[in-house]
Amino acid sequence: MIKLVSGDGAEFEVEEEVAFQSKIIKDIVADADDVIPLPTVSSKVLIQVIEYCRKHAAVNSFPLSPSSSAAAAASSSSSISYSKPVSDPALRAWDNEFVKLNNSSLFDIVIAANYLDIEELVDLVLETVADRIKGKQAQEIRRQFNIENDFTPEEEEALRRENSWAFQNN
Amino acid sequence: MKRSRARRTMTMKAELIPGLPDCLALECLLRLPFHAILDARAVCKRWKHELDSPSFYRIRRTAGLAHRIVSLLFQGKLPHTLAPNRPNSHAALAGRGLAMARDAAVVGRELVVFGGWDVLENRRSGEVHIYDLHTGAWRPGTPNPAPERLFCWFVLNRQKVLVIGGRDAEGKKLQSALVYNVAADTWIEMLDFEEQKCQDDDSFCDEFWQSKEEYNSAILCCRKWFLVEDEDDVRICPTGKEIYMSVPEKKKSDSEDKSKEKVMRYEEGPDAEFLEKQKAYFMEVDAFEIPVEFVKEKYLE
Repeated sequence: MIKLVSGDGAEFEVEEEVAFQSKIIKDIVADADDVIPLPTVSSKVLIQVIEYCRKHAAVNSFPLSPSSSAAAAASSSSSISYSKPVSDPALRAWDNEFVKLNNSSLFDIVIAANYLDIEELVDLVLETVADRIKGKQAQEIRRQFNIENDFTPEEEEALRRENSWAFQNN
Repeated sequence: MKRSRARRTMTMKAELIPGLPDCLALECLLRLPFHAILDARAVCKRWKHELDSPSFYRIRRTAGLAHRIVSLLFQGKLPHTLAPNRPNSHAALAGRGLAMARDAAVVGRELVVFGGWDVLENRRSGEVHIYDLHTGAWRPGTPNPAPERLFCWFVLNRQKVLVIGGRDAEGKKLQSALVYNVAADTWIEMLDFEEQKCQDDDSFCDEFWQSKEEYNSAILCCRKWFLVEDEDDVRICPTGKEIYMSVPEKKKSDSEDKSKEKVMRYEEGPDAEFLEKQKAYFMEVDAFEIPVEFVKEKYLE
């Protein structure tokens, strides 16, 4: 067992294979003791991250069912995608539920996951945020992410003109 | 730590996405599909700055995050089902006043649309319109000096468009090609390239061409081109290292299959050769940092 200590002092005992979803922790454990302080991670976020790691460690440690292993083989050979899609449909569904959080909670998780170097989780959250940006008008994006509009009305008008790019006959 | 490809070049203080470190926020923007970028550019100055920077697209590409996009060049009215603000709709382009646009080529991040029909003179016009696939802005180009010969093209070194061959008004086959330099917006004619090929290497100096190799590849393409008969019906489609040439088979009689197409494949390289290949409907061009599939002249009701 490995003991993780959050920034607010809470201790969490987790199995090695769960903690080792984080490459950083794996490296630390290799040449240090089993109590790992994580001063920048709050216990609220750490609980969520551990929940994610526990789920993924469990799925990754069991042999894949024939159908999903075939899917994994197909997806690995088809492209050199940057973010490898999670091939197990059940796990993907679980991931989709996991990220149903507000933006600031998601941001906290991705910052922690980036710090702990849990690549799959970072990818999952970043994809989710990108999904929340796409298909929206600028005004909606600003509202959702609390971004200030620093364009002058003239600049906005110019951008609008640029964007009304298609489907105009003269 | 990881994610070191983030840059902190901006002097503006605002975060890209409040609450998220810029390196991670940039990663989100990198994952946007191409069609979402137009709207995202209008969010704020920092976003526009990031999304307009060439490095953004370079990173996208090297990280394998670039998406393929399909550009359709339409003539006439467009269906409402392809509304511009609809998410996931592909970039659909309507040339402004480009009735009877003759052809189009993807050059770098731009789409160069040639041709059109001069209604007053009742002949092909040499109009050139250039569309920035990224910003969606149109700009006019220098007109093609010899529009009547425009029927085939391909892109050299991602920046020049070679417009080959044709027949003059009497139907006589021409042994010359035109090259349009998109960046410089200039046309030059390549005369009698068979002869020029024999020039001594040292004598080569022409500001129009970037290198001897580029010039030679243009000549090679021209020569290959003139091996093909009935070039009026030929379509050339560059696909990275290959050029697909679609050649309709000779119509022997009305009863025979007229629609059959022969596609020849030309591979760049020292042993360049035409190979017959299966039918190809579209070309695939590496357009700036984003690979672009470009489907030619599609008519829709």
